[in-house]
Amino acid sequence: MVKKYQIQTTINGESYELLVDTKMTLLQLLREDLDLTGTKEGCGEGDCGACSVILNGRVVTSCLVLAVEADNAVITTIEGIKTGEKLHPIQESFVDKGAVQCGFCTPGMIVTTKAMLEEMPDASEEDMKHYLSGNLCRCTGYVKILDAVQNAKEILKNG
Amino acid sequence: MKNFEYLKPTSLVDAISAFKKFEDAFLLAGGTDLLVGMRHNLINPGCIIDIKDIPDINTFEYKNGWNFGALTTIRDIEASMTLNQKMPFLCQAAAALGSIQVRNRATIGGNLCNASPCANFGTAFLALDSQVKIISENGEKIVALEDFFTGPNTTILKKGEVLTQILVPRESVGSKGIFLKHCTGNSNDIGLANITILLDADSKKGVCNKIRIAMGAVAPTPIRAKQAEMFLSGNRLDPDTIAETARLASNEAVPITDFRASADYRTQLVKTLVLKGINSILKMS
Amino acid sequence: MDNYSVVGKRIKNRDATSKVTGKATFTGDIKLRGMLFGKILRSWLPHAKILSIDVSEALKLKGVKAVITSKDTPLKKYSIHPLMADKLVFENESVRYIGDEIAAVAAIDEETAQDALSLIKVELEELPAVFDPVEAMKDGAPVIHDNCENNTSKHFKMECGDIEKGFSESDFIFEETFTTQGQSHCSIETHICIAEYTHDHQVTLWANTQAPHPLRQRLSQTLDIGLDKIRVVHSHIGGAFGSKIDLDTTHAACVLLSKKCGQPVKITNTREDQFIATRIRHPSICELKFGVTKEGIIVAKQARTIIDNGAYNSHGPSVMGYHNVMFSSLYRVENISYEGSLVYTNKNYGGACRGYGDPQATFAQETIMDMIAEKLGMDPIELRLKNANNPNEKTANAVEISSCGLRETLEAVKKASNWSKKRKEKKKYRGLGVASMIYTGGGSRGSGFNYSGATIQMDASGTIHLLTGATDIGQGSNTILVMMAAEVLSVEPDQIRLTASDTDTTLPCMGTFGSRVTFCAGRAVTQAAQDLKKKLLQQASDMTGTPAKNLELRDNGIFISKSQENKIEFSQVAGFCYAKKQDTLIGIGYYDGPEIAPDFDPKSYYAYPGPAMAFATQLAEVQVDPLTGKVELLNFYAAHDLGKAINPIMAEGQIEGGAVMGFGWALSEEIKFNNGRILNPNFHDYQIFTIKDIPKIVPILVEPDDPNGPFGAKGLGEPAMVCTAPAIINAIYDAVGVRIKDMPANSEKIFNGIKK
Repeated sequence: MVKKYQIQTTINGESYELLVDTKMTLLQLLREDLDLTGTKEGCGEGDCGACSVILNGRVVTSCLVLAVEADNAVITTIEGIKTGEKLHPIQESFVDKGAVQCGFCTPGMIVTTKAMLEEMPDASEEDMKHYLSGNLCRCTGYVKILDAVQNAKEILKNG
Repeated sequence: MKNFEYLKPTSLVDAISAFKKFEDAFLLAGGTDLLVGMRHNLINPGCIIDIKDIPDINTFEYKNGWNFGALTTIRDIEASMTLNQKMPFLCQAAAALGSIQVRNRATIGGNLCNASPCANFGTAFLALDSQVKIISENGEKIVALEDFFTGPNTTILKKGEVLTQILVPRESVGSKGIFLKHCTGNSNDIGLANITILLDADSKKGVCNKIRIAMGAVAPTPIRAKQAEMFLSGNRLDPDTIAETARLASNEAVPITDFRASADYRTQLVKTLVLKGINSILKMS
Repeated sequence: MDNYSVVGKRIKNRDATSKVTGKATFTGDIKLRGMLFGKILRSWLPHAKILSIDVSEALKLKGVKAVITSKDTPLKKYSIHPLMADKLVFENESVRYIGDEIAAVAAIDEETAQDALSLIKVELEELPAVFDPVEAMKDGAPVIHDNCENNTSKHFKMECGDIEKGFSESDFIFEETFTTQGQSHCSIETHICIAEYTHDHQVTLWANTQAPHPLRQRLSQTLDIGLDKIRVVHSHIGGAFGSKIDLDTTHAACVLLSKKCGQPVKITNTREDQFIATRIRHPSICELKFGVTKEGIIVAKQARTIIDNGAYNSHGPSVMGYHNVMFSSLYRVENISYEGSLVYTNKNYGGACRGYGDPQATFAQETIMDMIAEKLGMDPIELRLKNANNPNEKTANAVEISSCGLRETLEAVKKASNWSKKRKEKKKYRGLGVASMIYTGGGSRGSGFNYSGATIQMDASGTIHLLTGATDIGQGSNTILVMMAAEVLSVEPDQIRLTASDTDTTLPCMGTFGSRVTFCAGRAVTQAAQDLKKKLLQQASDMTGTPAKNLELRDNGIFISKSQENKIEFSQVAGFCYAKKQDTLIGIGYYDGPEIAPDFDPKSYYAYPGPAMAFATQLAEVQVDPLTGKVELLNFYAAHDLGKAINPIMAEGQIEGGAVMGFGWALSEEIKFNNGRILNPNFHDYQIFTIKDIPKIVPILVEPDDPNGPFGAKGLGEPAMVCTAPAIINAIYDAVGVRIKDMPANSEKIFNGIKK
C-alpha cells in the first residue's frame, strides 16, 4: 500500500496542494509531478548542485530533500527567477558574458547566485568562489560564470 | 526502497515514542547523510521521524558554557558573527564542510551522529572537551564526546535515543584556536586529515599553558593527541618543542591506506597540520 | 584586417536565453504518452562465462512490461570501427568487465524496473581476469576475446627516416617512461535516451548523442532495422566531451524494449552508471627515446606505446592512431619510430575523450622536452621555437600543415606571463611550466569520410532557414554556424531560423567530435549560403533587369552595388521567385575532405588526412607547498591557433573550459580500479574542479587564417586541454624539482618526491 502524504507548498509564488509519496524527493516532485523541468539531476547525491533550489530562503540541493519536507515551505526554482517577461539581471548577465555553454548546470548556478547576492549583496570574488563551489560545471571553466556573477552584482547594487 | 511512514513530531517525547511504534525508524534532520544512504539502499526505513520542528534545539547560546542545539545547521555556525569572534575555529570547521547547499541543511547533531572518522565537528567539539546530552524514554544523560564515538560511523546511541545538545564547558572557552583540513581533489573534499587545535599560551613568557589537539580522518574516530598535548602543556614554545609536538601527534594518528591516500602520507599530514596550526595560532593577535 | 560584420564578433549564444530560464529542453525533460522506464542489468564480475539467464520471475513482477536479453537481438557485434566490432548489445557468452550489459527491463516506473533487475537470475562462472595491460600481453594471460592473440586488439609500427642514424647523430639521448590514468568525462548531464517504436515499424529516438546521423546508421546495422525506419531527434545536450558519440547498449535497449512492448521507453543513466559503464579516457604507457643535438635540435624520436583498451574496442584503434599522429607531427623531426599496442583488459573500456589520445601523447612528449631543455641549459620556450612546425610544411609522417601559428602561441604565452622576468626572479616553491601541442582542426578522413551537409532555404516570405546535421553539445555550434551563414547573406544572425541534427530533415553530418564542426560543418554551411546567395542574386536580377554581377547583398536586403538606395527586400525577391518564376530558393552545401593521400596507412595513420592542423601553447604558474605537496595554481595562460575566431567569446569559453578539465586530469582526477571494480564512481570520490579551485586564466587567440577553413577557422574544442597537464607538471618541476612521470600529479606523489 503506497503511503501518500498531503502537503501544502508554495513554489515560485504559486500555492499547491499535493499528495506525494513519502520516498519521493523534492527534485522528483518538481520534475515529474509539476513539470518544472528547469531544475536538473546531475548526480542525485548532493554533489553537483544542478538540482539547486531555494527552500525557505536557503539554497539547497533538492535531491537531498524529501518532497514531504516541502510542506508549508516556500520554494523558488529557476522558473521563478525571472519576473514577468524580463530576464532577471543574473540571467541577463549569464547570457551577455558568455557564461552559458551546454546550459545543464546553469539553472542551479543561477539559483545559487540569486541566493548568494540576496544574502551578500557585496560579495567579494572570494565569497563568490566559496558560495558557488557546490555548483559543478564541466564546460565553461567557471571564468565567464564569475564574470557574469560580478556583473550581476554591480547591476543589482546600482538598482 | 519501500514507502515509509513520515512523522513530524513537535516534541521530543513524541519523537521518542515513535521509535516504540516503528522498529526501523530513522531520525531525519538535515538529510544530507540519510538520503544518500537511502539512495544507495544502505538504509531502508520503515518510518522517518523528521525532528526539525522540535523546539529549542536549533540554536546556540552561552550560559555558563556554550550550549549548542543539535539541530543548529552548519551554515548557522559558519555565518555567526558571535562565533566568529568567540570561537572562529568552529566557523572554519563549518566553512570547510561540503558546499553551501549541504551546509544549509546539515546539522551539527547530524555530523556527530553520522560519526564519520573525519567529521569536522567531531574534531572541533572534541578539542573543546565537549559533552553531549542524550534524551530517551529513560530520561536524559550527559556523555563526554570522547566516549560518544565508538568506531567508524558508530556511536553509543541506541534506537530511541536522541542527541539534543552539545555542551562546551566554560573552562574550554577563551583559548585561541584553529581548524585546518588538507584536501585532495577539489575544495569540497572531505579531506585526508583535519585538526582542531586550541592553544592557551603566555606569549610574554613563551610558554604553553595548555594545548588541546583533536584530529580527524586519521583514526577510526576523531581523537585527541593526548601525548602531544601532555608534552607541550606547561612547556616552552619554541620551534623545537612545536616540532616535537607535531611529531608526537602524528605518532598518535592511526590512519588507514585507502584509494585516496596512504597511511604514511596521512601521518605526515598530521605533522604538517599541527605545525602549521600552532604557528598560525601564535601569529594571531 | 577582416571586414566582417558578423564573423569575429562577440555575439550572444543563441540558445543562452532558453537555458538561463530553464526552458531549454534536454532529453531528460521529455515525457511521452505511455512512456515506460528502462533499466539495464550489468555484470558484477570482471570476467565470466554466462551459463544461464532466467527472466521469468522478472516478467511476473507487476508493472513490468518487457524484459530483453541477447535473444531479442540479431547478435551482431558493433563498434565505432565496424571491422573491429567486438561487442554485442547484450552479451550472451561472456561478460568482460564489471558493467557489461546482460539484459534490460521496461516498467511503469524506475523503481519497479530496478526491482525487476534483481529478479533476473543470471548464472555466471567466474573466469580469471587481467587488469594490467602489460600482464595482459603476456603468454598465458586470460584470454578476453577469442581470436585475439595476447589480448592485443591492434598493433602497428611506423618508421620515418632512419631512426638509428638519427640517434647516432645525436649528442644526447633521453629515455623515459610516462604513464597516464583513466579520466571520466563528467558531463553534468548523464546519458539519456527515449525510443518510440510504433506499430508501423518506425522508430524515433531522442538521444543526447553527439552524432545523430551515424547513430541512426549504427542502430540500423546492429539491430537489422531498415535505415528508412529510424529517425533520431535532437534536444539540447548537457555536455559530452566524446562520451556521447557511440552507439551504446542504452540506445539499442530503448529501441528493443519499445519494440517489444509497444510503448515508448526511456533509460536514464545514473551518475554511477556514467562512471561504471560509459566510456573513459584510455590509460596509457609510453616509453620515449629522444635524440637531440647540443644546439637543441630533435634529430630522432621514438615512442613505444601501450594503450589500455579496457574490455572492448570502441574508439581504441583510432585513439592509438591519433596518439601516433600527434606525437609524430609535433615539431620538425625527420627520424621517427613508433610502435603501438592496443591491449584488452577486463575493465571499463576507453572511448573518445577530449583530445583522443593526444593528451596522453603530449604529456609524455612535452615532459621529455622539458627534461631536454634542462639538460641543455636552454629556455624551454626557445627549445620549442627551435623545433617548431612552420606553415605549409609536410611532416616526416606526411601530415600536411597549412596554417600554423605555433611560434606565435609560444611568443604569446611568453609575453603574457612575463616569462623571462619571472624566471630570473625564481621565487621559492614557485614555478613556471610550458607545453605545446598539435591536433586536427577539422576532423580527418582517416576512417574514409569526414562529411557534413547543410541546406539553407528561403521561403516565399523571405524567411531564411538553415538546416544542418551538426550537433550542438554545448560548444555553441548552433550560434557559430548561423553566424557564418549570416555573414555570407549579410543578415542579422537572429533572422536565421535553425534546425539542427534531426535526421529526417537535415543532410547527414558525421557528428560533433574531432574538433571538426566549425571547419567541416562550417564549410558546408558557407557553401550552402553561397549557393543561396547566388540564386538570390540571380532571381533579383531576373526581377529587376540589373545584371547579377551588379547586385550585392547588404543589410538584410539586396542593393545595386555600392548604392544606398532602392533596397530590394528579400520578401520581394522570394515572392517573385515562388509566385512568378515558380522556382525555389534553396542553397546546398556538402563537405567531405580532404582527399586521402595514396600513401595513407589506415592502421598507423601515416599520412593522416586532416584538413587543417591546430596548434597551441599553454603556460602554468604554480606554487607548491613543500610540507604537503599540494599544488596551488596561480596563473594560467593559453594561446591557441584556431585559424580565425568566429565568435571570440565562445572561443575563450572553450579554452577556459578545456584548461580546467586539464587541471583536473593533471592534478587529481583518476578512475581508481581495484580488480576491475571502480572504487570512486561518484562526484564525492572522483572530484572535478570547482569554481573555488581555478586560478586566473588568460585565453589568447592566435589567428593566422587557414586557407581551407571557413573564414579561415580551424577547430578548438579538443586542443583546449591537450597540453594542459604537461604545462602544470613542468611548472611543478620548476617549483620543487619533482618530476612526475605517472599522472596524476597528486599531492602525495609530489610530497614523496620532495622528501626524496
